[in-house]
Amino acid sequence: MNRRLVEVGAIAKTFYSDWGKVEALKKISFCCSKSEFVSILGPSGCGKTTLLRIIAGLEEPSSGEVLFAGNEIKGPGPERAVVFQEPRLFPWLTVEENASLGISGKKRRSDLEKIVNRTLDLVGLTPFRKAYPHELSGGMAQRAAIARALAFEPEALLLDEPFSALDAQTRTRLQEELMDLWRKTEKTIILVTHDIEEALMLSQRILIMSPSPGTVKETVEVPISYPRRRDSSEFIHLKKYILGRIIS
Amino acid sequence: MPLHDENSRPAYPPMLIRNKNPNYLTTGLKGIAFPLFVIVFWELASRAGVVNAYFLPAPSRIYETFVDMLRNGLLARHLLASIVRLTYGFLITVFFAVPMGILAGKTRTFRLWVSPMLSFLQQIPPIAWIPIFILWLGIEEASKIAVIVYASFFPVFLNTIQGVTSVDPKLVETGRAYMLSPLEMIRKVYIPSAMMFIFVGLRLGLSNCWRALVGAELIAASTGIGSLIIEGRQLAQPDKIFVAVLTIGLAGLCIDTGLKYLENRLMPWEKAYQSGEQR
Repeated sequence: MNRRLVEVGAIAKTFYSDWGKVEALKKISFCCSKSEFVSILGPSGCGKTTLLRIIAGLEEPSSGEVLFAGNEIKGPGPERAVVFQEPRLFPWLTVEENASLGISGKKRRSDLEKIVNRTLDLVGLTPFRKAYPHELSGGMAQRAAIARALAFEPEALLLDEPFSALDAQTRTRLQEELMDLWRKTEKTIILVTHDIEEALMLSQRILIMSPSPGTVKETVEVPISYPRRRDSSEFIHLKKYILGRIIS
Repeated sequence: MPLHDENSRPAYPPMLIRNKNPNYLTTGLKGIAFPLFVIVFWELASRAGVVNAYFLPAPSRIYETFVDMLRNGLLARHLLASIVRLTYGFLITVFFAVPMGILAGKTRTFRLWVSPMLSFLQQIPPIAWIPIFILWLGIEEASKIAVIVYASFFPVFLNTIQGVTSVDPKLVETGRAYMLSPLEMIRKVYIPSAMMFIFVGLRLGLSNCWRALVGAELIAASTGIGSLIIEGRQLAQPDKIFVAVLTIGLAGLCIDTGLKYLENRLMPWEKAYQSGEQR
């Protein structure tokens, strides 16, 4: 079954600044089916974050529309959860309170506890549930942010360069963990990244974006089976190909 | 999924980090060593007759007076009078300055109309108003409380504005993305983040209060720690003056320490947040 979950239909976004008009996005269309893992890859300033924010409902497109399961997206919704580039945890809430941010007023207490327990377990933060964000390392904080997104029980996870502020080892580890999460939960995941290897390691499909104005230049299927290896010949081959497409 | 902490940082269990315990004994000793040295030197100089006891009574003499004044309840009576005034004045300030600060922080027009005048008033030391306050409110308690309110209003008010206007827009957006209701937004985002600044204002305000109060009591009062100083001057008892002055310092220190303690208990995350280590 290949149900279309997210449909981005010819959206454009124009910002007006003191220096004039900036076309951040121009006529972007793509679809994303249920349980698919799609990456949006491009250099900084190509509008990929803007695109994700529009899908998240945090910004409105200047024209065009985004459908989620057939309904137009008009704002943030319970079926989509965002993980930002920075963890953006609330400093005055503990890890478990942060994780339950989106559901604490909406669920029964017993259900709430169950969900939070499960998600903290999933990201390996159960021993740190009473800790405050400032007591966490960067990787742990980002895991807590992922837990917050999972506890929201969305159909789709929207990740905006979630690992870009982490060091290489932590990033690799969290990528593996994200892979596990995706397999276990079968969520639809849209990942924004500027890291070719990250996109290749994780996603089934890569949208390559080019800047000014931001457009989707090409869509690349990644036919490599999981778990993937960075040193396999097909991986290296695809990486070279994408690199060439980005530069040209 | 295996549970592992990344290698980027040493994997302290968080509880260890929280109770990072500086050695209170040695830091405390260092803080006390210098005054102790001064006191010993001072005492020796007094006994050797180097300083005139009328200008500078020996520490031992001051101590005796202190014990005397404690015994006969004189010190307690005056200190209590000051603290009661402080409490009234400070509560009035909090009652007005915090809501007004929130209002001013949320509405631009209010800021535009009122803030130039407030900036002007802020420049005037509260003590300068005392004669006017006495003229208006009489020589009794009201004029002193007015001075206290004046002294503490600005720090509390301005920090509240700061607290309300400096809420991290990224956290507000996160709240929006996770569909917090307006009420939850206020409770979970605005209030805690403004609290930090408000508390800083309260601490500043309270120490301003204390100083202004003593000033007011020096000018016109029959009770209070400031009036004790005047009494000492009029009766030519410098030891009494010293006891009063030292008590002012100690009481101020106690008040501030108490508030700091409260701040750390209420907002354990605050220090890290202020130093920009937010996650």
